[in-house]
Amino acid sequence: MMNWVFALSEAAATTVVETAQANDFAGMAIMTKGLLTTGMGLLGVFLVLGLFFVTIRLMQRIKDKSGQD
Amino acid sequence: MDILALLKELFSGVLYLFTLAGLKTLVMLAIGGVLIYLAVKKDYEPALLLPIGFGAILANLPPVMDALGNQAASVLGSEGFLTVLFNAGIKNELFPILIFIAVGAMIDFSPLMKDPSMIFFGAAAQFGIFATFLVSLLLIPVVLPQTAGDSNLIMRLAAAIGIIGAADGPTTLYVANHFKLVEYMAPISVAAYSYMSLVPVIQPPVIRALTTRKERLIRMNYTEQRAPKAALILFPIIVTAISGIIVPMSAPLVGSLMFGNLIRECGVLERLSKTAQNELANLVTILLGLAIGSTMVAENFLRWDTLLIMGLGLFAFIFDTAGGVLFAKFLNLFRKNKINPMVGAAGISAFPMSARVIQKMAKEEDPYNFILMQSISANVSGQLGSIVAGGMVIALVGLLIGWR
Repeated sequence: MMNWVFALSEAAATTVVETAQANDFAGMAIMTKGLLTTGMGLLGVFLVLGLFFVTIRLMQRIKDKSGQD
Repeated sequence: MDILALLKELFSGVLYLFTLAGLKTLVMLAIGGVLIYLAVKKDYEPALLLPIGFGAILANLPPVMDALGNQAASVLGSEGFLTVLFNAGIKNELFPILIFIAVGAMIDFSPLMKDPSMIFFGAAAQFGIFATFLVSLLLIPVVLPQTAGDSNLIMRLAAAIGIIGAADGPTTLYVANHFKLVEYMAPISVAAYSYMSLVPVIQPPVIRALTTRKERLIRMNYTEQRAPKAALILFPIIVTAISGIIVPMSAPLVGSLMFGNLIRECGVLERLSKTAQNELANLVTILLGLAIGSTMVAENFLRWDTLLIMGLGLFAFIFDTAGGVLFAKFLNLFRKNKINPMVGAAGISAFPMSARVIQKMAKEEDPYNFILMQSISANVSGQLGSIVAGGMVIALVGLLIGWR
């Protein structure tokens, strides 16, 4: 079972690397690359911080033992 | 050896000052002096500006010549102590990581736990990074013709310049170093650290320009209550895991920041926490400042690049501040409980200086307005946001230009 999981994750990682290598960004205009970086970058920052927000909201449900005493 | 040759060797430093390189040396000594003046007289981030200024003076002293007229080991050169410091702490990204452990040990996430919506200011205030990145892509080939055609270098340089806006020195160094911008390291790091120290000068006019007095008078409710200990311990672990999975390039910085925070919050490592907050922070700050100062060699600093980088860095800083303020104003369109838009400006990473500046401004308008805790929440979020933005920029630019 574990071998199967390892093989699957290795295959997934290889596919990601190969896909990235196969994509050719060299011919793309520099401003297009810039806009892509800007859009994806801002989206990524909001996404990650949004996940932190959800994490905190979930953790707000943790009761403080010392507060209950 | 005749007497004239002996005198020439003895006073080689004085003679050096009468050459073109010597004149540049004098200019750099003056710049180092200005940084020390700002640190001592104006109290602008003295812990950083003073070592940087003195490092700049050391790095620009006339070269030491041996009896044969060859350049001997000095503070620079392959065996000079400043070179050793640079290679040991900046070239391998160690100092930024250590600084983040110290910063993590100083951060209290309790106010953010109380009002997590403030976290989005840490994202909105990264707007300047990306705006500057785009502007840099346009300006770099024009102002620095030697880069024209080298889209790889332009992208890397624009990325490092944009990150200056985060007001996060270690992340700026980390990105610049990742993209191997060694010859641009001096202006980039000086811009990042000097603008960080100029938060009280740069932010207030931008905030005033974008807000009305009525908006600056908005009061926000806050009840003092510490978050549960379990939540404070879990938070750094979960944040590290999320960042490491989604933005792996941010893992070293987020990981070290959160490790420092975990030491603080776990409650069983008080000695380590205090060491990280004091001894580690102080020691690394001294070494980091000197190492940055050592990059300010005249030939690398007295160039058009420096003016461009300093100018764009200021642009980034202003737009980051504006991004946070405008985002708060945007949210106020939909919120019943209005946010004081000044809090949005604290979404940059200069912790805790930016939050203090915002509270000071609020107090100037209304002596009884207390928005420090909300500003601190936005400020610690900015710390997280700038690291994530740095990781995103490294990942995206790296992917687009094929940088390994």
